[in-house]
Order: sequence, then structure tokens, then C-alpha cells
Amino acid sequence: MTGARRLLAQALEIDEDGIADDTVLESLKGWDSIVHLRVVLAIESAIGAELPTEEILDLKALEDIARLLDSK
Amino acid sequence: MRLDLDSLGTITEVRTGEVWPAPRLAADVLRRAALISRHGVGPGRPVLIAHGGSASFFADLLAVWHLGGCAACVNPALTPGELEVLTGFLAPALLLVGPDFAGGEGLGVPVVSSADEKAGGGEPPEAAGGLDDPALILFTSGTTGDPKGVEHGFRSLLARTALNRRFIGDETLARTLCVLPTHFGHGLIGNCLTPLLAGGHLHLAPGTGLREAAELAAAIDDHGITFLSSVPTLWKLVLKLGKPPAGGTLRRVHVGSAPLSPEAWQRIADWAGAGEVWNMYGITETANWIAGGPLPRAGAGAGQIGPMWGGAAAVRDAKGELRRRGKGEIVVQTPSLMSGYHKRPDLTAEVLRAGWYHTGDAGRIDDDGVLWLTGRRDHVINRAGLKIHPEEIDLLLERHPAVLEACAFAVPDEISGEIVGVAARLADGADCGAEALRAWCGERIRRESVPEKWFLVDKIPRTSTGKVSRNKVRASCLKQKP
Repeated sequence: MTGARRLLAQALEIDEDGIADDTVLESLKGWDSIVHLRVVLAIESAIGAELPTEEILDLKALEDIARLLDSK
Repeated sequence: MRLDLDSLGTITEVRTGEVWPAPRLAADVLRRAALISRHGVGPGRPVLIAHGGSASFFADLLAVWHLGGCAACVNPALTPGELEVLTGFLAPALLLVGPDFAGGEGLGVPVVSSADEKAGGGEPPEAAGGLDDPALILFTSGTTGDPKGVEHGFRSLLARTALNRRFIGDETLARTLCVLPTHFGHGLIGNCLTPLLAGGHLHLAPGTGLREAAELAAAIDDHGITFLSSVPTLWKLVLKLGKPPAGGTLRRVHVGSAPLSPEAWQRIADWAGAGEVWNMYGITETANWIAGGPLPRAGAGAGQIGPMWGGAAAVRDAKGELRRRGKGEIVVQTPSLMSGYHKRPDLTAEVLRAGWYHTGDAGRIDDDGVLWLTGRRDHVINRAGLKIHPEEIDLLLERHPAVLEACAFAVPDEISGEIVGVAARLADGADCGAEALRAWCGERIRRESVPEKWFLVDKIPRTSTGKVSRNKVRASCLKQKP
């Protein structure tokens, strides 16, 4: 979860410590489609591959980010 | 204002599938006009409309206009504090809200949800008001204090929609899709009122989320859409997620409200297939589009827009002279010019001089009369097409007890074009970080205006004369944290 938390904190410009393991992305203050795409691009950059559309749309929680980063 | 209700088009709400054929819309306009006339709505009297993106919104808007009233259409996502500021500024006859609205107590104005048919109506009142009465107010800044509301008369709006029809064509406007919000000129006047008043079929699918972007092609195909307009950021989402439409119905796409790169323009054109993609220029003060053109066969140049859509453009050069060709600040004369900033003749006088509107945009006009934009002369931040005045953020933050001084500025962003950055100098010993300040802002201003990049600094850089220079602050901060 550490890498996912760091990635999310950087995309949203928030403190890593405030992101709980069970964070639902839509519940984060300031979350919108622009931040969502920013997170997607950061994941793609980290894993070196483009995500399929369904994966992008299903990105709903911190654990989804962790799963995608682990898939590298 | 006696609008031609018999010539209105149909509205379909794409998400719910609800269809409002023209006769239903016209009948509901009259029912609502009867309902709200009891609150003293009439020529020159503002009515605040705090909902949007639905057929019910257009019924409310047209009902206000039938009575000759002036509709102030505001972002439904305004915070209670922002709504209070605008209500105090406008002193409206009433506040029209959607069914989900909560609150409104203490605003001192009647709050009405006219969609509720039980709210009744009565005998439809006679149309009132004339062409030069104020019709529409759209706020471009100041929702936390010192509001700046662009006011248009009926004449201006009817001129704009007539010119839009002339330059787009009724066949292209026959089946229009609007994904934009309806509280700014681009979505409201260009994408919605133009086809609706032309008898076209308007499809409303507000929302620029990822799901909507992924499903855009399906919406175009399912509804046989011929025309839509949007902002470059939506296209970043669509091109990432959405396959192109397959139905071949799309005739034209407009892109506006933010700079469009030649590469993005070409990619959107590839997506749109046979449909033409036009880069458009419009400003709230001119209602909406005043110039635009299709992607040139040889490809577009950076900043290329197109010729004027009615009216005239000139540039104000470094010596302050107006010239028909050349480089400088873009100034325009257009039949759809605002009457002024509501209750602010001082601000109006700054930009309306000798019949020309000074846009604040830097650009050039070439020998063919084509407009090119090269940047803004002021510091307006453009987040995904929504404009934010940095002065508003400075003033808001300086109300926070821990902030001594603040200076907001645009930070380039790959997806939204720009986001809001801010440098803040805190009081000695202030126990407050960027996150707390951000949350504090989030309770007071709408989402797009909340700064996303924070720079807590020991001092705000100044010019040699001691003034805060936004450019200098921005350069200093972005060097710290590019």
C-alpha cells in the first residue's frame, strides 16, 4: 500500500499520512475526473503500460491502485 | 419578453430518458410564469436560478424571461456562503432551485422549486419587458465577496443565437448534445439556447466525468447527434477512454473556453470522422462564441481561431492604437456585447471604451481577418475551461487568521490546462498547514477555485517598487516546486 499511498498523495497534493488503507477515492476532498485521470497517468507511468478503459473506470479505492502497481 | 414559445425545440435528458416535447416545455413555461409572477418577477428584477442541466432549468429560465425578468444563473455547486454573498448582492425576487436543494434559510428571499407541479400556476400572465431589458447575469468572479456579474439584455442574447444559427446552420443544430454546465455562456447560450430557440432537439447529458467521457460516442450514436461543444479537457478524457462514434451523424464539434493545441485539434478531428472540428473563441462578456473556424486542411497553427462571427475585431497595439491587423490586445465590437457588469459601472468603464470591449487577451489578426490568440494579459486561471480570478483567492485566504498574505497564480497542468497554485505567508507560530488551509477554502468556495498547489513561504517576492508581482511569485514558486 505504501507505493499506492505515495502516488495518490502526490496526485492530490495531500499528506500521505492522512490516507487510510480503506480509502475510497470519491470520498477524498477535491476528487474529480481531472484528478482521476492524473492518478491513471501516474499509474501508467509507474507500470510502463497503458491501462484498459474498464480498469480506469473501475479505479475506485486505494487498494485498486495498489493492485495495479503490483501488476507491474 | 414575448419569446416565440411555439418555435422551441424538444429537450431530452439523456440519463433519465425523459423527453420534453416542445408543447410540454411551452406549457410548463407558462405554468411556472404564473407561479413565480406572484413573487413580483418583472422587467429589471433579478431572479437567482441555482440549478441547471435539466429541462426543468430551461422551463424556469424561459418563465423568468416571459415575465421580462433577469435570470442570474449560478453554479449549483456554490457553497452556502457563496450563495449568501450573491443573494445579498442581487437582492433577487426569489431563488429558484432544483428538487434536491437543501438550505436557503436565512437568505431573506423566497425559495421556490417550480418543478413541483403541485406548486400550481394559474392563469398564464401576459408577457412583459422589452428587448433592452436585462435578461441574464452570469458571474465570472467574486462569489466570496465583491461579485462581478456580466449582464446581457434580451437584444444581445437574441443577436448571439441568431448569429450562431447563421454560422452553424439549422441542419447541424438539429440534434445537439450538451455535456457542459448551463451556468456559463458556452454551455448555456452556445450549446443549449442556440439549438433550442432554433427548434432543434437538445439532448442534455451534463457531466464531464470519466464515465461520461467513455460513453460519449454511444450517446452520439444512440441519439443521432449532429452537433456538440465542449472544452479541451473533456477531449483529453474522451481520447483516452472513448472509442469514436460509428453512426456517421456528427456534423460539427466545437471546442472552446480554453486553448486548444494543434495536436489535440487534429486528434479530435480524427475521432470525429466526417464531422468538422471548430476551434472557438468566446467570452462571457460577448455572450459566447464571437469567432471560430474549422481545422485547416494544412493543419492548424498554435493559437489559431478563425474569423469573427459578426461584428468586428481589432488589436490595441503597444501605443494604445486600435488596428484592424497586427498584434496586441484583442478588442471587439459585437452585437452580443454585455450591457455591463451588474451594479459595477466602474468595472464596466475599464473594459468598455468608445464602443469597443477590451478582452484582456493577447493575440493577432492576420491579413485574412483570422484571429489568433497568444495568451492572456491578465492573470485569470483557466481550469478545464472554468475561469478563476486569482485576486479572489488572495482575498479569501487573507481572511484566514493564520494567513498574513497570499498570492494565487496559474500552474500548468497536463490534463486541465491550468490549476490554481498559491503562495501563502503565515503568521509567526501559526499552527496550520496546507491541508488545513485547503479544507478551509473548500468550505467557502466552489471546487474548481480551491488551490491545488500550495507554497508556504517566508516572504512573498516583490518588485523593486515593493508591489506584489504575480508573475514573480509564480516564477519563484514553480522554481521551488516545478
